[in-house]
Amino acid sequence: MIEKVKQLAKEYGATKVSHFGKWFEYDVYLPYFGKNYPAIGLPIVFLAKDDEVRTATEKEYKDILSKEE
Amino acid sequence: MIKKILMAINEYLAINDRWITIHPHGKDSDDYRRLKIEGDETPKEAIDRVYKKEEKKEQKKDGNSFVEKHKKLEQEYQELMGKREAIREDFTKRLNKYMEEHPKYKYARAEKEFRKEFAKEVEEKEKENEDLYSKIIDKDHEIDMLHREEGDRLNQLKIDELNKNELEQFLNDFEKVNRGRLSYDVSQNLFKKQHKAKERLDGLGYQEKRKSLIEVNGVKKKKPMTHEEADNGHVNPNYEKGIDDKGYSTNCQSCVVCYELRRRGFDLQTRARQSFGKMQILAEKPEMAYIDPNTGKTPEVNRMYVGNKNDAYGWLDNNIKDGRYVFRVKWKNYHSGHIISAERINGNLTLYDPQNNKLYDTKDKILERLDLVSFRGYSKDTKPFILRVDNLDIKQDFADAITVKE
Repeated sequence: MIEKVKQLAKEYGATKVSHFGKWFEYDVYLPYFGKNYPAIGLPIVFLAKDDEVRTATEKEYKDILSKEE
Repeated sequence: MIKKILMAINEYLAINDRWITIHPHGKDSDDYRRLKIEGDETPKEAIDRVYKKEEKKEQKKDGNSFVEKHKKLEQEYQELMGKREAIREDFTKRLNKYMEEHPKYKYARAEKEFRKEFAKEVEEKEKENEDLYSKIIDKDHEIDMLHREEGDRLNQLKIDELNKNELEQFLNDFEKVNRGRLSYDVSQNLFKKQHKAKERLDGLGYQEKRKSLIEVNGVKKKKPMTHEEADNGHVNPNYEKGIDDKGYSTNCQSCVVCYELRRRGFDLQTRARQSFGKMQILAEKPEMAYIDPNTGKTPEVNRMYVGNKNDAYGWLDNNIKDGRYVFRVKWKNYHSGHIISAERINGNLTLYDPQNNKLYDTKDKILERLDLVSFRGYSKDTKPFILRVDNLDIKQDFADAITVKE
């Protein structure tokens, strides 16, 4: 599964991914685009469950990322 | 024969010359001066030419007079110091000799015993020294005053009004002043002026060879576009078309530059992001696409140090006035961020995302967009910033690397 996440991240130009945690039944992965927090665009968040890997919708990533840092 | 010809030429030229008479002390004064008008210049230009030249000469003379005065005073000071050294040396020599002759006094008591034995002579020498010491102190004070005078003169100069030669002269004069002899305030001010003068000199150097963008990727500059003409998805059309290249959803760093190019009249669109080269540089340091024409360098960004989205809105409202800006943020709990455009449209603070063509033109919409922005973090790189871009030059190589013809 992680290979599929990495493959999808690569398509977006990310150099690696990190596991952020669990969100409902999904494993959440965040892409890494380089040092100095590069400006890329709106957040791209990967959700993985069983064999399914997809990017989160705006509503989903807002819910995932909005917790206090 | 030749002399006659030359005289005739001179006479001809004199007849065709244009002259004006100036009364520098008023019309009724007998004092006057005649100035020749050269070429097509107006009388005012002739006056400026002649008087500014003389003013410069005068300034140069003043500048040199500091160096000369300082040289003279320093020489006198060194002479006095030399005398003092000679007296000291003589005293040490005699003391050493005395110690050799009187080995029992060789250690701590030697000088005391020596002074006792030659009390009268030592007293006379000390008197002589006292006079010399006060002369040295006076001379040192004189040098102090000279440096302070020069420091004050330099401190009064307005760096913004100086031309290239005057700036170079200032920097040269600054090096000659001993800052240790100046008051703390003057010294600090002069350092600030030195920094400003260097920056201005760099800016003037840049302006001399400055080239405006006239063509980017084969697209010639036309009439500047309004926001309505420049947006409508023209900046990054492939994002909305859903073209299967994910580089169109990670190219915000280039979209803001392309949007600015469109506003300036270049009909261009943004390329898909590549994770190397100019696009990666821009993603990490968006200000690298621009040059500040006043300094000839990459511009400084204006960072926002606030704790929450409401304060952030207030800060943006206070800081975004005239002109067009870019606004860069880092997302909460995320390794990267976003950059969009900002300006006042009809007086309202408006954020525009040229990457996905979304407009945030009310306070509520802006606050919603600020929801995910990170305001925490110890590194300044994590802090949001704005940069006014409409008054900056865009680097040709960056413009070429991130755009394509529409």
